[in-house]
Amino acid sequence: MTGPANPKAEVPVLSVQDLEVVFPSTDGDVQAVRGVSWDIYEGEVLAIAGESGSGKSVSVMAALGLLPPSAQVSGSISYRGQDVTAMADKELEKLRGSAISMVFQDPMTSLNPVMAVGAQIAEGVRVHQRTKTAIARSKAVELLHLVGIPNASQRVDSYPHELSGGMRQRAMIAMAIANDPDLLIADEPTTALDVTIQAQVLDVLERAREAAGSALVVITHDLGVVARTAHRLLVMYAGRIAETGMADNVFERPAHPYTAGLLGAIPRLDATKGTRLMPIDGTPPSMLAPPPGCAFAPRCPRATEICSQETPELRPIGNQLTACHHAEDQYGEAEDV
Amino acid sequence: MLGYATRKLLISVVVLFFATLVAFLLVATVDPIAEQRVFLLSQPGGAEQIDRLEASLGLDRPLIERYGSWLGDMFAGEMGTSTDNGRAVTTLLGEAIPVTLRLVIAATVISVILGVAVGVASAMRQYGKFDNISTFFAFLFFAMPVFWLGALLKDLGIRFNDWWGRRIFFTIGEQSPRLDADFWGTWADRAGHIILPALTLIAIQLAATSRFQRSAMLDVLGSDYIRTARAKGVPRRRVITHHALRNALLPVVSYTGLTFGTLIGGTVVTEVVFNWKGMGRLFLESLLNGDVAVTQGWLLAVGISVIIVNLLTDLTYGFLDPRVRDG
Repeated sequence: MTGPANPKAEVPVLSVQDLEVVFPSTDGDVQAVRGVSWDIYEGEVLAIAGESGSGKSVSVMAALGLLPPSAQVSGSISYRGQDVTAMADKELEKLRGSAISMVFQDPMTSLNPVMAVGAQIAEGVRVHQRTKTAIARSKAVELLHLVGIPNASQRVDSYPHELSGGMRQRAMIAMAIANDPDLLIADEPTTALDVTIQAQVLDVLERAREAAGSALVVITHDLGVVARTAHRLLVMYAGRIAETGMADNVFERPAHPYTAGLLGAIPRLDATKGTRLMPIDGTPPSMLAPPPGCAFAPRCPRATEICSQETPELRPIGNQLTACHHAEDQYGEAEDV
Repeated sequence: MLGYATRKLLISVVVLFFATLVAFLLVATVDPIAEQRVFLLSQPGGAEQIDRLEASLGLDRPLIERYGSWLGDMFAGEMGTSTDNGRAVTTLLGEAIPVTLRLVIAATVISVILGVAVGVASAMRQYGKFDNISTFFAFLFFAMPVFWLGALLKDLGIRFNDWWGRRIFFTIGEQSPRLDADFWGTWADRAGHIILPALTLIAIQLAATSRFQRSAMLDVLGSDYIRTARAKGVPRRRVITHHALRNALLPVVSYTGLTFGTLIGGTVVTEVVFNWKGMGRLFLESLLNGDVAVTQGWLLAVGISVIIVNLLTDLTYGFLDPRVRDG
């Protein structure tokens, strides 16, 4: 474990408290995030995992003020103690890309098609550092070299369509670390890429994070991605936190049936022959009218009457926090395996 | 970019060749002596006369040979004379082209600048007050028949002149006949004449351009790379000017190129309403009079103009979009 020895002693880089995000729509309010709290400390890698629509991306987009204006955000998000939600546009612009920066999911559409990649990286440098064009450009070459793009001094003038998906995602990472951010957020950084280059890009991301000395939030639906890099893990379901704790602990003994289900659905190299993958039946609930009680209850093998009546609170189970009425049973069973 | 430009130029030459072929065939397939033929065939010895007539007009030669000599004449600037008034076709075109160009260029430049501005402003606050008002007027002008809008503007112009007690708006012709004025006086006179017909064209073009620009801008503003630019901390204004606008201009460039090409040959209605002696009128009259040489010359001139405009559009496109350059 390379996480901070005593995280609680320092001020978190980013602290999200009781975050709720609602998107009004013509069919009613979509409750994307329903009361989520988490912190990330310097140098830490936090993974937020969950299915599509579980609110994992929305909770970090809110931190950067990148949600559409119609979104209703409540709760607090603070960067080193400053409340981000109360910031004016100008202040937020200063924070974005310098203190907190982001790598997006789809490198095919996330780069401006009519601007050379080097110019896009240099722009991020110039916006925050007010350097000369030539200096920003050489910084861009340096960054491209750092993320492992061959012939960086020529590639700096390439347009996005001249690069492969993996190369584009490397360029995105270069752009994100251009100003040595305190916090790097990667939203499904490998989802849009070929399986063969996913591992490379994750390596680049880890190297870039070390070079910039930043904390990292990785958002993913793929627990395989999490297993490699994360110190801490936060599993989200239907806009709430299902389970959170040190990644190793959660992987070893999940105390939430949903986490256990996610882990059961990943192919493992050490599995004995004939072991079947266990998919989770059903689909996530509609966020227009989430079911009362535990949102996972309709799909949960352990669900009982109380699950559809009372919303479970996060409580300590073993070494982690879990929101489940039957967490003890799940945790106990995991030990037997 | 140089390779792209050369490629586009070569394609233009090929298109030009086909344009000449079409202009030639459109007219060559019509029998110019159809009426005489019917009359002469009923006369004794008419057949010989028809042969002589055909020989004098060169109709007895094969089509490909006729095309060759016609093309040679065209390049030598020998476009023949009008059967209607005996004037050289090149002279007629030389008079009509500047008149139409003046109107079309003025209208296009103004409507593109305003259209882009209105479209961007609408998209920035979608369904806001400005967006709703501009949408209303866009559809209003889009739905208006050109001749009606022209006539309406003429009427308003005349009323305004009466009220002001001075003639500000001219409603007939492209300039005052027998005007004796210095350089500035001439341009002031032309300006007074161009305002109303230009407004007619602008109203309709602006409606279309602003709608195109609005939807292109909305598309781009919702795209991932705009979110990336914002996540980089690029200030809002720079996101609009450096990231959104350049991408959102592409559809408008295509649209403007297309309509500009059409307008050069086709402001017929506006020209007739305001009595301008431009290309639209020239074409209409040549058709009504069966003036073959003029029709042919007109087709060729408009064809060449459209090809030049398309070439400029392609080059602008290539300048704005690197993907097109390499494609």
